[in-house]
Amino acid sequence: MDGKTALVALGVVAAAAALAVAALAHHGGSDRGLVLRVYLCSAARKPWEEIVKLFEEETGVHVEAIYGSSGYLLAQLRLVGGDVYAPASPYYMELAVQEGLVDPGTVAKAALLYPVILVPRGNPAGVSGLEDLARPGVRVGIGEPDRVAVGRYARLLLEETGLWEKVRPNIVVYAKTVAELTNYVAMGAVDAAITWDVNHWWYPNRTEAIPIPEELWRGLGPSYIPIGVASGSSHPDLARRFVEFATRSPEALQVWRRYHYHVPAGDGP
Amino acid sequence: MKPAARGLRVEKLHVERGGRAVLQGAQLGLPRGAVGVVLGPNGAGKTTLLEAVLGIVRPSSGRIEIAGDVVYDSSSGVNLAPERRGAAYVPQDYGLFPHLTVLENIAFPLIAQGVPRREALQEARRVAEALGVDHLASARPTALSGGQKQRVALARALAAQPRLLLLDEPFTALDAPTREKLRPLLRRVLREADITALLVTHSFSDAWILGDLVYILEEGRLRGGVAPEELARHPLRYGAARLLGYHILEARLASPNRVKVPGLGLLRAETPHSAEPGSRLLVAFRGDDIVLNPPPGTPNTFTATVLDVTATRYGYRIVLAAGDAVLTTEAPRGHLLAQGGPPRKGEKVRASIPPEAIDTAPA
Amino acid sequence: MARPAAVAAMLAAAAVAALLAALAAWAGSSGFAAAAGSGLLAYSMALSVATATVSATLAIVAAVPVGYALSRRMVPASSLVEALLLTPFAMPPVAMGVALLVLLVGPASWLNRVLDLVFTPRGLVAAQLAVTFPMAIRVVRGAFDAVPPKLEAVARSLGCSWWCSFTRVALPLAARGLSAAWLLSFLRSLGEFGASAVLAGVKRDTATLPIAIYLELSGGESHAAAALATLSALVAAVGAAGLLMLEKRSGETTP
Repeated sequence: MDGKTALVALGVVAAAAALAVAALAHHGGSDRGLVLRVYLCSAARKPWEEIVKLFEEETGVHVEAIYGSSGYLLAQLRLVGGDVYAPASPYYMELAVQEGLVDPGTVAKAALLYPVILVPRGNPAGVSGLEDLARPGVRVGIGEPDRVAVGRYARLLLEETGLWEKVRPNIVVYAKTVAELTNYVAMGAVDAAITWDVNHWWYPNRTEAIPIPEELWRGLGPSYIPIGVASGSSHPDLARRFVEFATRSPEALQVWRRYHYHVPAGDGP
Repeated sequence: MKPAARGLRVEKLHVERGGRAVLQGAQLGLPRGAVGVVLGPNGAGKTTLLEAVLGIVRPSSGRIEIAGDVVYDSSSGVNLAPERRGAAYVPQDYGLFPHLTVLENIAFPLIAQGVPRREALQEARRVAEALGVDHLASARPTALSGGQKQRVALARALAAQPRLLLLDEPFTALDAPTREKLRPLLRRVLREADITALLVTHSFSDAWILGDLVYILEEGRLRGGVAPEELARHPLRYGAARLLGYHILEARLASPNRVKVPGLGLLRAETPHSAEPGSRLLVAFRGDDIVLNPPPGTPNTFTATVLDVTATRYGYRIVLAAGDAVLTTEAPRGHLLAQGGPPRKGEKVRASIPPEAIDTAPA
Repeated sequence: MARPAAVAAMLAAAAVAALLAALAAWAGSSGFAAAAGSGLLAYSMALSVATATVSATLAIVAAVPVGYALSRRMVPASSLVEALLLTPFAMPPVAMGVALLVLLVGPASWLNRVLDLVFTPRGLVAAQLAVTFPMAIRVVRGAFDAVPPKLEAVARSLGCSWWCSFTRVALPLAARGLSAAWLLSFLRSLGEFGASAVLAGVKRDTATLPIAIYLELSGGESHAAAALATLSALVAAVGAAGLLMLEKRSGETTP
């Protein structure tokens, strides 16, 4: 490349960069008005996106929705601050409350999650109940019990039913997220995994959900997506309104149901 | 030296590099238009001297004047930027700009100094013609031979109309025939341009052909500053005998202008006036100045044994032993053939050294 | 030795091709449709290219003086300074993101008030810049190392000022290396996830290709994620081809 070509290339790049800067600056938007910053677990991004949109339409408030895994979001809430925290499991909400990051009085259940045995379509290992997971040769996947809500739940459930020690040798993978675990089932990498029933609806054509009888997990209760107002919120009233909207409003409940989440009792279809 | 005639003046220059003293009080003076040659072995600090004059290496103390202007003075804090010194630099590998054509290279100093491009290229073409490189105008430097590169570099330096030209080992990168051709060319160009030049080299041939004044750089100090003929005649006086490859032997003064050299006997040579008979002296002479089989009655004749004979490009290299002294000489082939062929190993031969070829100094 | 080496190279290339094919196959048309439908496909691609262009340009503009100073040893304790400048190179990008976030919400919050970097698309540029800068310095330094300082000394002796010799000799001779540095920074920025996710947040308006992939993947949309991944592989392939062209041309012109 001689000097002239280099100059032309430099010019093109500079022009592109200038355009991009202009676009970004515009995007940054100086007058964003009132902004509600909410931290939402990315596993439920689809319903959350719809609920956020409905809330924005109703109130005219701009919602800045930040997605991520529960722990990630907790760290960002701690560092940057915000208005609402909605992790994927009660465990992270407990941490947030203990740290004083979320006002415990505001915590509510947004949607319920029932455990299922998720198997690849056609159920290659012929799993019909929890005890089948202990059968030799069945490849089982669960979430990491120490770090992932769905893994903690699976371990407690198996311990409760006295199957943990028998199933353990069959566990071929401890997934780091529920999405990863679901993908293993959808791709046929494991014969069965303990997940939430909604995960089946991520791959309705590739997976089958084997229900776990409710009496087996009634003691543990269903898991749920908690939501609460951050103690440092600069718009606590608006934040409370968002929590209310996500957990009570007919519009939001309809969204949860459409994505196959259960909603707290008392709100029939 | 009259101030008006000053080309370059270096006073008490000290330069340190990496904690090592490279130049220790170097002194040098060149009248305007003179070519100064600094001779020194590799690593003596020749390039450092050039870089200090050029202004890209900062001395720790001293003073440098170019054409009567102070460009560096540690006592008054003057330190002109290289571009304001008017000293054009031609490094050992010529330093042509690979991204520019030959003509653009030559026009570079003019364009850098603000001459409009068209005019600069025209002027560059004129300089290129003067140095016989105009036919290479649109070539890239990478496509040039070593000799062509040197001429282009010279043209570029002259186009800058410098007050001083700094040349670093201008011939080292060239093969011998090209070197022989280009030395006279450089000499002619320097004379015609009437430009003060400082050339550093390790080759005495460069100094002999090009130098008006020759300096010896050894251990951070400059000595000499004399015509090359004077340096060749009295190498011991200027500390250049070893560097120039002279044979150096210990001797004793027998009587004024007579020295006794072990193995060679009593030799006639000009001796220092101050020396007392019996005192220790050094004698130095070039191997080339030894004459084999001189006519009878030639002064300074001695007998030696042939240790070794090897054929070279010009003749024969002959190693002689005279007592403890081992001497090496080169004799032209024709000269030896006329005497009946080169001597054989082990043979005893007569040899002599002309008295005027011998330099003496107190030991 | 030559044959097994050639076979190994072919195998490696085949493995990459198989990887890309598998990705595209998993995405399928439904994956592309889903990604396009969620509005992420076009947006994330445009955002990725825009932010990577800006951050690569900023990285090079900033790396030129730094790389030059390092190359010419103009800095005191230059090895120490260089080691410090290179340290982030080996840092996990997530850690860099955390460092940036801690800095911008803490001691440098005034900077964030001026530039508005936390949880904004501009934060993407800052994160990409922080991650690519050490590499840019390294490559730019190498480009200047290849320019003999003697040429600049010659230029100055011919009446060219420091700035003149820098712009007329050092920069043109380093131009090819600088272009390569720009392209490498651009490619590295395209793939940047860790620092961006922490500083700019995982949000729709900060969804570059990697962030969009994460968004889709964590929501179980692995087909859409694969579609986005295929797209980013295509963008990377164009960049890689550009890099190879640069290298090839440099091979032709230098002796």
